[in-house]
Formats: sequence, structure tokens, C-alpha cells
Amino acid sequence: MSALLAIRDLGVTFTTPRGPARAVDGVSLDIHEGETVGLVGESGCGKTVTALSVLGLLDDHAGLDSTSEIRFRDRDLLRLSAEDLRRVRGDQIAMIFQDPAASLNPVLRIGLQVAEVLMTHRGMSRRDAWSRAEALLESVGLDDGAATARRYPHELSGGMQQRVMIAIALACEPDLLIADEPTTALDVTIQAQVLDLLAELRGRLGMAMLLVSHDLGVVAGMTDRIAVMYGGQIVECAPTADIFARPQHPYTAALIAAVPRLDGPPELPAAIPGQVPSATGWPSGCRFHPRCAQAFAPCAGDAPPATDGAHGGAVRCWLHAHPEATS
Amino acid sequence: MTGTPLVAAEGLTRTYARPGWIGRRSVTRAVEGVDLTIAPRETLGLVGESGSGKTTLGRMLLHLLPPTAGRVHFDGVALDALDGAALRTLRRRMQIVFQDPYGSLNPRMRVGAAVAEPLEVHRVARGADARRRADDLLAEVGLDPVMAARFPHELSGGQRQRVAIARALALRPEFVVLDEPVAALDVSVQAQVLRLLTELRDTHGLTYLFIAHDLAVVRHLAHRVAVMYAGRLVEVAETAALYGDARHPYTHALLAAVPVPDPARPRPRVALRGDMGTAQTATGGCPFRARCLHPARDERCTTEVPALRSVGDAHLAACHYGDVSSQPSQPSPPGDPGS
Repeated sequence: MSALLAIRDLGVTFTTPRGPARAVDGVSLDIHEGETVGLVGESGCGKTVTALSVLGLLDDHAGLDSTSEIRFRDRDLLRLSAEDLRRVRGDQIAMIFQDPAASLNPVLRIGLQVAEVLMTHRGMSRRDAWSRAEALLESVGLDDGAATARRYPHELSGGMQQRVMIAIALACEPDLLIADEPTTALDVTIQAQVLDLLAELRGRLGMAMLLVSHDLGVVAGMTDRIAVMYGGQIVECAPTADIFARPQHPYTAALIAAVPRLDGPPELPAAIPGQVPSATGWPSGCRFHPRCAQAFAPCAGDAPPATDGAHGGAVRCWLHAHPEATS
Repeated sequence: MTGTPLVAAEGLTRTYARPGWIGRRSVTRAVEGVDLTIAPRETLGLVGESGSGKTTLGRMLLHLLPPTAGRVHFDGVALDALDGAALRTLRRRMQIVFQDPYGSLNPRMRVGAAVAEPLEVHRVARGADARRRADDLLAEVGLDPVMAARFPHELSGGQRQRVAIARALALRPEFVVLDEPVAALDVSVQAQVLRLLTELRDTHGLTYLFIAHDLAVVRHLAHRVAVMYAGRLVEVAETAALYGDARHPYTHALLAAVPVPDPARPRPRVALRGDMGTAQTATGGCPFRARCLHPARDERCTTEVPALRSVGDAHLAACHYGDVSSQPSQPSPPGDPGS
């Protein structure tokens, strides 16, 4: 089965005042039609940079490896002209971000911001696009689409603004939605509403989704597969049920154990010692080894290869490396 | 909890007048009529969503923000009766740690000096003595004393929060308000800071008000939990009772909304429609009624404000029907409106 989106050997280096920062290092990931993949990790692990790379939204300080490829259907997005990429963006691939207030234009009515996408990508007239916008606003759970369309972003709550962003993203019924921390800025009860909406629309439109999140609780209930990132690399990738039931990488296991939760024993969650590393100076060898309770001789010296895990996933850890790889 | 409370609030209220059209000023009630006690060595969790008034309440307990009505007693002393000098003296015994240590630490002050500063301001120690005490405090929060020479931007988020905690502990306070102390930290570091706070509490016999926006974090260290909604306390109970036998429908909704990191457990369908704005436009009656899914909700909820009353052993709830479990009668349909 060929993938809808195939990221191959993605490498991104930023030029910073403190030297080069290798934000993403050798990331490969497939997303199939209709599949939802979670990209999980802590701050600075490279998950957002990976997501932004897909849409060519990295800034000028970012340098992509010449060997990197991001294939969407049969096209390499990294080698499209700016014009062609714009046609794909917002049409076949759409994106929503953490902070809807920063993504919406404060001086344009909501209806126009939704209609603009349809005028640009579908060539609809302003009037047709506007009435379609009203219907779209209702489809994301905003009562009275006509009234909402006439309002400005500041008149809406954070949850409603994120619904508007979803309406804009889904206006052209994309094949792939990239959602980068879509509920992180929202209160928990509103987060639950927005996740429900995303799950429902994904089912209705049959689209694939890349859900980027720091929250294992959020991805647990939404995804088919999960890729865990640490230090700019995917350290484990497996079906969601396996990630939680049989985590192969020590980081995955430790991250799950660190989450405060409502079920389970009342004792404090287990901490991971040390600090989250930074892209200006990843640790040598396995990037998790300074914090890993199971680190042994080879971990500090050589980077572990990505190997097939015991249950069909892939894992980047010396504990799971094939014997021949260690020689 | 028995004995004299360390902190006692009575009818605590904070309103803000909003200028509107001429002659039509409207009043926002950030906190309304909160009664609360915290026993010595107790950790009270205070949970609510943004705009619920939890931060305002925390600041009023320290008199960092004077209440518009009501009063706070600290160890039997009414804070509003104190003059500036007396309040400053009492302040040594109460401290606050904020969510964002980057915003609360002076970016141009070295970490050691930041921790020593309260000692010097309150003339507890000065010069080399203050620096030596600062080193001890840094060690106590798990930081290498070489960190004393660093600036805040050279530290990670978790390290900065440890500095803020060391600074709060410098004057050996009895009561510390922790305002979302781990909300800005990565999960792997959150647990470290929660452990540190628990250890410090046990070593120094500290009393905490632990403010959080979701119920998962406070469960692991609070003795009692208070839930706030639209400026009022809606439920207060011992931790096990709150999580096992919630009586206010809003508490149920908050519990249901926390995503569980376990794909084997289906994500609960939305337990709550609308947002708090829906509540604040409503006048009279229960502030939660527009979003309520309690099976017994009725006409009374639209006319009579429910008082916070006893519904069980040391268990308070502000619901007319809080004597029975508030499990919602039906989940609201998916894709329900945001307001």
C-alpha cells in the first residue's frame, strides 16, 4: 500500500546565534489514506518543525537536507514551486495551529476568512463562497452560521475561534489535515468538544490526519498509530494500542509513566531525571541515554539504529538493536 | 481537618467595574462570596478553568489583591486590619509561586542574587551570609550551587521553576500559594517538580494552596480539593471523595474531560456543552444551569442560586440536587456549539 504522505529522511538545521541547531534529524514517517497518526514529544523534540516542513512553512533560517523528501501522492512537496505548493496548501493539505487567535485576521469578518479559501482554491464567486461559509460554520457546531459569519474573531471565545479555524481548514475537504497542538490553548472541557468535532469530521470526510501533541492523553483517544519523537528523531513508532500496552523504547515507557492521571494509584507519577535536551547540543550516542534508567555500555557512544520492534513497530534503542548491528 | 485553620476566608468577593456606554457600567464578578479554610500542613487543591476566578482568589488570600468584600484571616489575624508594615512582616510567612518563572524572575539578576534578595529585603541576612543561604536553598531544590552564577535564560523551564521555589522558601514561609506551578513544564519535568514540592512540604510542614486547571495534577498531592466555576466554589471535598463521588455536575464534567492516556478506554463523549461565557450571561439561578446535565435539574435551578452546603462527611456542593451522584443523564451530541 503506497502512503498518502511519505516523509523520507527529513533533516532540518536552523542557523542560530548559538550555532547550528539540528532540529530534525533523519525523520521518516508514512501516513496512509484515512489514517490518523500522532506525533508526540516534549518541547524542542522537532515535532512542530516536522509538521511545518510538510507545508513548506519553515522560515528562512531553516536549512533542509538535500536528501530529504516529502512525497504527497506522487509529488515531492520539497521540490514544488512556490506557486504549486500554494495550490496544494489549503486545498489537499490543510493545517490548524495551537493559537487560533494568532491565525485569524482580526479585522476581517469570520465569513470572509472562510470564503477566501473557497474563492482562492475553488474559484467560487464571493456570494457563493459566503453562503457556503455559513454552512461550513454550522457544520463545525457554530449555531447560526449566518450570524457567526458576520462577526469578528475577538467576538468569539477561544473554543469558537478554533472551530472557525477547523471550518477554514476543511473548506476544501482536504485529504490530509495537519493539526499542531489544536487543543493545547483550550480549557479541558472545550478541548473535549474540539477533539470530538475533529473525530466526527475526520469520519465524515474520510481524511487522514497528522496530530501533533505533547499530550499522550489526547493522542491515545484519537490516533491509529503514534510516532514518539525525542532529540529531533523518531525513537519509536507503533500502532497506538501497542505504544501504550507494550512500549519498546525506555523513553516512551517513562513518558507514559510521567503523566498525571485520574485513574490508577494516587501516588505521584514517576519523573524522568534530567532536562529536556536542546537542538544546539544533542547528547552523543542515543540522545536519551543521559536520562535513561536502562542505559548500558554502547548507549553513550554510538547512535542506535532504527530497528523493527517486537510487535511490528520501529524502535531506535540499543536494547532492541539486532545483534549484528552491534558488532 | 480539625483545629484552628492557618488561612480562613469569609465571603471573599472581587468585582471589576467595566466601563460601558455612558452611565452603563457593567460589573464583572471575578470571585463571589467564597468561604474557605486551610488547615496547617494541609494541601488544598483549587481547580477551575480559565476565567473561573482561581488566580484572583489565590491572590486575595495573600492580600496581594484586596478583596472588594469579605476578609481573610491568617493564623487568626485579619489581613485587612493590618497597616503596611505589619502586613509586610506577616508576608514573610506567606509566599507565591507562579506558572511562568520566566515572567517572575528578573532576567538581569543572577539566580543566586534572586534567591538571596528576599533575605536582604526582609533584613534576615545580607552579603556573604545571604549568598551562602541562597546556595543552601538552591541545593535544597535540587540545583547545583554553580547555578547561582547563571542568568534565568541560561536555565531550562524546570530549573527556573526550581529557582522560583527556592526564592519563595527563602524566608521559611508557612503558607505557599502555588499558581499552576507545573502547567508550563514538559511532562517529564512536571513530575520532578511535583515530587520536589511534596518533599518540601513534608520536610518543612508547609501549607499549600495548589491551583490547577485540571483535576489530574492535584489528585496526586492534595488532601482536599475545591472546584471553582464562574467565581464561586461549587464543590469542596477530601480528595478521595471528590474523585470517587463527585456531587456537582461541573466536577463530573471536568473529570470526564481529562484525556486518559489509555487507548483501551474509549474517550468519553463530551460531557459539557458551551463554555463559561454561556454561564456568565445568565442571571439569577444556578450559574452552571445552561450547561448542566444533572438528571434532576429543573425549574428551581433557574430561579434559586444554590448555596454551598454539606452533602456528606466534610463534603460540600453548591447544587440543589447534590445529595445524590451527579452522573449526567445523557451525553450531549457531538459537535455541539461552543456557546
